[in-house]
Amino acid sequence: MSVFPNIFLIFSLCGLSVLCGKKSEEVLKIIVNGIEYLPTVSPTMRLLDYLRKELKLTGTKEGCGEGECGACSVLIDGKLVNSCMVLLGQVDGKEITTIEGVNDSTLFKAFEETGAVQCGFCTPGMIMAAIALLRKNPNPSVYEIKEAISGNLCRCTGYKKIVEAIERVKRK
Amino acid sequence: MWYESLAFENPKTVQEALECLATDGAEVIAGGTDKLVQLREKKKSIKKIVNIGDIKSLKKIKKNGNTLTIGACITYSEFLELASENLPLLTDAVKQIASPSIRNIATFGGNIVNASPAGDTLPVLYAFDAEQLLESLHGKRVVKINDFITGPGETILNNGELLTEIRINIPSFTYYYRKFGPRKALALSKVSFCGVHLTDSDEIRLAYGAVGPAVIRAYEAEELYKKGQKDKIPDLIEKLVQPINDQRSTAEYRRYLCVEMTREFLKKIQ
Amino acid sequence: MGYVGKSVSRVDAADKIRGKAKYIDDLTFPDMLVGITIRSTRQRARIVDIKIPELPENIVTFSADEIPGDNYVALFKEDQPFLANGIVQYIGEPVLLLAGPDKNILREVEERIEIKYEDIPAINTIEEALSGKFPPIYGDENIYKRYGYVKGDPDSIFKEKGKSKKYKIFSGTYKTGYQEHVYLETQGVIAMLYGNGVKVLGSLQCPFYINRALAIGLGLKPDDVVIEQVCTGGAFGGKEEFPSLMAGHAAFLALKTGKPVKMIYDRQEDLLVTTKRHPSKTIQRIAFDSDNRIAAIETDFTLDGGAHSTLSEVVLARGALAATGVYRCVNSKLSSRAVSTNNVPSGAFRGFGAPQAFFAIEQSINHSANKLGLNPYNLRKINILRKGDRTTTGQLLSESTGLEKVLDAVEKAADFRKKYESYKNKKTDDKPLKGIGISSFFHGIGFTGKGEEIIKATAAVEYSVKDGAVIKISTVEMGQGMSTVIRQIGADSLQLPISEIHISAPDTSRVPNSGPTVASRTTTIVGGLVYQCCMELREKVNAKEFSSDFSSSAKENLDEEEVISSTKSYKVPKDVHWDNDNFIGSAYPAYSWAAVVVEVEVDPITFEVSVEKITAANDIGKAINPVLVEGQIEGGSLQGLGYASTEVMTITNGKINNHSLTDYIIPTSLDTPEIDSIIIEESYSRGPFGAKGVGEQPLVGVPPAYVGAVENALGVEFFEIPLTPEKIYLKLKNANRRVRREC
Ligand SMILES: Cc1cc2nc3c(=O)[nH]c(=O)nc-3n(C[C@H](O)[C@H](O)[C@H](O)COP(=O)(O)OP(=O)(O)OC[C@H]3O[C@@H](n4cnc5c(N)ncnc54)[C@H](O)[C@@H]3O)c2cc1C
Ligand code: FES
Ligand code: FES
Repeated sequence: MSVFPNIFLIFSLCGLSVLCGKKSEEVLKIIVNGIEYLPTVSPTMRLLDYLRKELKLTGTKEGCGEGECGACSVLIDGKLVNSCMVLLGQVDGKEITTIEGVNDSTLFKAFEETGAVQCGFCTPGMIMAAIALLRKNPNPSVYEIKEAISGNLCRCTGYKKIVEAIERVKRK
Repeated sequence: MWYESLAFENPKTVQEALECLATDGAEVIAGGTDKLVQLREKKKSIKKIVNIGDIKSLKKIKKNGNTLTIGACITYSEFLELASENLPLLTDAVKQIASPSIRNIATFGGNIVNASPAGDTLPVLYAFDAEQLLESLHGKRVVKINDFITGPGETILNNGELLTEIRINIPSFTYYYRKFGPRKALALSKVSFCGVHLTDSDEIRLAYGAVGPAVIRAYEAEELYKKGQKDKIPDLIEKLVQPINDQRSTAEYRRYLCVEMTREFLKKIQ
Repeated sequence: MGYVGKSVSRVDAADKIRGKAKYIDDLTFPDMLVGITIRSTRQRARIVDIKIPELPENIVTFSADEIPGDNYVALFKEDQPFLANGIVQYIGEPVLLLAGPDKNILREVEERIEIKYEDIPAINTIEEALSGKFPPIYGDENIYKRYGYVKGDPDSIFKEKGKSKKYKIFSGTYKTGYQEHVYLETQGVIAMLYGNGVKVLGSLQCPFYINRALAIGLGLKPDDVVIEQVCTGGAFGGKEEFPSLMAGHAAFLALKTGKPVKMIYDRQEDLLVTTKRHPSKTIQRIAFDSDNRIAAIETDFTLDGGAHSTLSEVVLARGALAATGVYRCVNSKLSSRAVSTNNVPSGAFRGFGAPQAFFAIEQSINHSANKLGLNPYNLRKINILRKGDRTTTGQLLSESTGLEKVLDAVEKAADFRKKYESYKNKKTDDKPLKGIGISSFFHGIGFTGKGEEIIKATAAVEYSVKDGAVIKISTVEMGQGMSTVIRQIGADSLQLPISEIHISAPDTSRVPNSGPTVASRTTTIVGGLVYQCCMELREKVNAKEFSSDFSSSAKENLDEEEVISSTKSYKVPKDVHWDNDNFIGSAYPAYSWAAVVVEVEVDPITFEVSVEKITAANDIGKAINPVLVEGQIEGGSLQGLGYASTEVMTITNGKINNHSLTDYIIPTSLDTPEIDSIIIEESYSRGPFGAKGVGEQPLVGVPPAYVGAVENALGVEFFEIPLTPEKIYLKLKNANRRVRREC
């Protein structure tokens, strides 16, 4: 993308040029993993692309781009969201947590030890879903765990060991 | 994505939003879960995206007597958190929509304006004749859901107009709700059925999703019930619904489900 | 030490969990361009004209006539072009390539490119393919490959029909649909100039397949084409042959532009144009004698290979070899073929022809049991292969034949017989109808027939006191756990801590060709070679076999940085012979065996099927890492369940109707039943530490067990997967059966 910086300049200019009503925020501001950023790219860039291409936070994956797989899951103000379904402008002023901002060694260890990881492509998204669940409900039932990860497809594991990993954390 | 070249607005009030929408090619995004999927296919007429998801006044939910008012930008998760007890039928329907992460951003307003025959809040809204409050720079109007949606993806919403509120008058009732999807989560409806029995007046309401160009409210069947000709209802439903064959299901099976669900419902309210 | 048999944590888990593992789309290189593919919109047509608009300077096109080498993707046959050569054979066939700095702009350019076609009547179905009414797509007969045999005298048995009551004969026509892999990471490669040629990085299974295909396509020496696999987000066979085509595209663009070129398919493109499991049609007759022993089986097996041959001939072979299932059967007849249609090419998918064939034979058995008035478990017990028996091709099962054990294990664990009978005899009511189904099957380990002999897999292990052991193989980690299991084998063979065992990156310039990562061959064949290399290293430092003195002997005998190495190539055991034309001899070096029970509840009104439990027992020899084995069983079972139930993929006039993961339905966590996996370890003397393989097998037998369970619940027979509520409804309606009473 660095090849065409001028394009993004144009993009961001159109974003600002057609202001109406009470002026909307001139500059976007988002917080990612605790760090504040003032993106200069187009506000209609997908959050997923911003994270991956601009911030090089490639732990967030794209599996479908249409909200159907959960590989791109991040937290926005603590809530689980598919970052492929969100435009950068929609998260103005909000706090984003990606897998790179997670440091939950208990959960990580549980995933590692139970065999919840195979190809790993769904894994960061699964971890985000697990975190969103456990924050709200530290003691979920198996059904609640399955429900919480039901938007995160995994084609490798059959989910069983992922559910087990999350259960294991819950017991602690 | 190609739409990175579009302009973007982030109004904070309805008035601001309406002003933004007054320009040519401006289109609304709320949760974006329909819009962004649709935008993958390039759309030439769109020039600007107006995000209404952060407008606080559209994120209110109130119960006033028997009237439940849902702000257009209330997400499914917010509804489940704030109001799930107010209307268990709607709660049942909402719980089965998509996945937790989609429910965290997808809105009622989006489901209604998107006007998919398979929109899962719609049969419930049809059953209660929900009213939509529409606002534009020229004023406000209130429209019943059945008049609001005119076809698949089609509504009477004018350019520059916003849906701001959904009002549901909740009588005392019992209900039977079923959603049929190809799997247990992340599934669009093959058929959804909502049967409501108004206990005070002993009337019924029947609404069928994903079996016609829009949700089908079976008024004639409801009349038959009033006339005490309950037995004739299943046959009528069989003729009334207009399902199609597509990659999710077959017309014949969908029709069958509509009839059987109607029977189940009638059996339950005996 | 002893790592083998222990559930060592995966070596790659930590990075994957933290989002640190780099998959292909996570990599960028300076000046990297994006490549896209312009595809045929016609099913079968001559290309009359391609009009390319004037392009900005930084956008490059690449067409078939620019291909420096030969325009075919080398595999078995030479029919699949990298870019359509005047004629397109399926919707989605690559016609032209574009590269430039920005994908959005490339997509705009795409809209302005005009391709004029002249349609040719297209072949849509297996029936049309064999009708002779269309100009053939492949060869004179429109058939990629046939296999057939007659063993014993099946004809005389089937002729008996009617005359005597000696045999009971049952028949059926069984159909299976497409299945899409849905590896969660879509296909992707990056190609760049490198040395005298190119280097391609990618999400892939078979580095040396691509090496060969590109050498031919680019007109380069194989050594000048370097292929390196990077962290791969699932494959399941989908990244076996397909990446050769895509790598070619990226390499053409890289050579032309001189810059690195990245190509990543989005999900829609991946669903629409990549290979899928072959749809199949099987007509099968089966005869039983008065003791309910199988007297004869006659099978007519057809696969829809799609528009190019890809791997169809070997997929067909594996299917054909499963035609008689896991049963003793001396009189058997087979005719089989993979046909050519103007549909998306079919290709490798976990199970590789076996799921299709096993669906037919296991349903034949399930249906026969019902008609014979026998419990399907009992009918299997009468007929299954046991140690000392010979398979249909005459292969003596001299060891490691745990079939009866797996069958008994699932029967017992699931209480199959009792439940089957009680569900069968229940009275219908409005409650969910319970059903239980069973199947038994095998998976041949390694390539079919002469495959291992031809490929001559080679592995090497190097050792130095300073750096420990480095295993050099072209086998890849794609989620299945290879990198952990092979290290465990290395560690125990050398009696070293696993931390001293390394695997070098699968880069064709640095590792020998241990063959593709397919055919459930990694642990047994490649692991076996690694084991042999390690044994030779032991000899080199005078360490005794199976003692813990390797490390001390090495220190005594080697200088700190001195590197010793051993290279071993696979040798087919002397007693293993295979006649591929007549299907005589040892089809596989070894077999893993499995049985599975599926339990369901069917809604008597809506016919929605809820799967409650899967019990799967697998004899895989020594389980090197039990947790990883369970992972294969659980994941494979669920894929098998999807294949059997929800994974409907249809094609209309060559156009796939399922464009997204909302339209192609794989199971979510909420659709997942309880899965009970039972591991049976019948040691295989030629496998490392007695190991066989498990990668593909768990998927193979789930569909017939699932359908059998629905049949048990409803009391009707089904012949087709995926079995959806729509199909159940139709069947019951046509059978004039309403399960529930009227209200
Ligand atoms: C993976 C996935 C699964 C899904 N599953 C389901 C499901 O099970 N059931 C179901 O019913 N739906 C499902 N959907 C569809 C979608 O989530 C819902 O329709 C959702 O309610 C749309 O809300 P939104 O806020 O995201 O709409 P948006 O995409 O923001 O908007 C949808 C349309 O409505 C317009 N609009 C939105 N709000 C307003 C307003 N207040 N005034 C005027 N116009 C407005 C927009 O311009 C747009 O045209 C699914 C979607 C995805 C991606
Ligand atoms: S990539 Fe966002 S949900 Fe699949
Ligand atoms: S581990 Fe591969 S998709 Fe989940």
